[in-house]
Amino acid sequence: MKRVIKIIINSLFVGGFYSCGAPSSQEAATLPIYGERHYDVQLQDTVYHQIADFSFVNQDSSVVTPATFEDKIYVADFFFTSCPTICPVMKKEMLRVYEEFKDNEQVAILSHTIDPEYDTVGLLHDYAQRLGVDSDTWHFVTGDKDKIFDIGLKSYMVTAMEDEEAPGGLIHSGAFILVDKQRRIRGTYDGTVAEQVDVLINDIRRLLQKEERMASS
Amino acid sequence: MKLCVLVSICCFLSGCDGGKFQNSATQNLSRADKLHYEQYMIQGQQLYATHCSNCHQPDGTGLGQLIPPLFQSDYMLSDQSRTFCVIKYGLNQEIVVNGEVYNQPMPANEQLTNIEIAQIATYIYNSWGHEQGYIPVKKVAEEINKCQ
Repeated sequence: MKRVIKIIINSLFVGGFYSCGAPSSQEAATLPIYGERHYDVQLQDTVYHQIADFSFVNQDSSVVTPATFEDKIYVADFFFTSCPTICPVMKKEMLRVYEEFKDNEQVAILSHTIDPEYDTVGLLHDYAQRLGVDSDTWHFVTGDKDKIFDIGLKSYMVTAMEDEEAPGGLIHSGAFILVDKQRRIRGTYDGTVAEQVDVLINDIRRLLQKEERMASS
Repeated sequence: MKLCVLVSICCFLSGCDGGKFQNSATQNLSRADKLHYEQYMIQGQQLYATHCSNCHQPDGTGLGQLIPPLFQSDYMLSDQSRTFCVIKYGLNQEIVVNGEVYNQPMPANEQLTNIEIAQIATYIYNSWGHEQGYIPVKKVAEEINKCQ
């Protein structure tokens, strides 16, 4: 009898959560736009937080700028190759994102090293190759350290800094940041948690559908 | 009531004999060592999750050609003593695992005690189909002094 009551209570709870948690079809189609925004009087439109201009070099010595991601949505993260803590998990999870969208020209991945002194172009090339990924989809970039830390903090709004106490001497968040074709942040996900990365993969699909609908209308 | 207690004691004892971690290599252990082995497996699993699985992954498969697998790894399975040393002092040289060359440095874990290394070793040598049996702390203590 107790068991029956328990089951009833459980199902009530689950049912309750579902009805609250399930987004309506309208919500499902729209991802939030993150960051500060303001109304521009001259443009007569809302101006959203955007990823600032950047110029880095990828594993093939090619220059990577926002133009590289023109007409693409992309996922950004921060890591370093000698990282002894969360990076391998992040890369394993990002590899799932890569496998899912590697044949889709509208999706790209941008991984910034936060240890550019050690992570040279040659090392990143070797790293990407050993991971078995293609530079058309997944850019591993290096560049000026201050500029990398700066764009992390101000544009992507994630932590990336030096810390002698931390293993490997650097701390950084394990976040994956989803950026749309207008360089706006549409989601952040914990790249060390498989369930969060499942949500990211689903959100990329939603964003792609949305873009398609906008293009056709 | 007495019968009930007796039955549950019997169940408990037989439960230890046929514990979920037992394999062909642990069949002939004494009852006490079987218990130790079970404890090592449980502790080892937790230590592995904390210190090893970020890189080597929870299922021991590693990461591409960057981080070598522990799952059915000829490098690991062929030499337990070397594994104790690698866990404690890390690795900074090229190695070949199952025919693949790996050259990422592995960080040292000098804070780990001999018992913790024995628990991790017992776990990785008896998971994912490996059956190398109980690795007592005494063995680790003897071998760890010989690390280069």
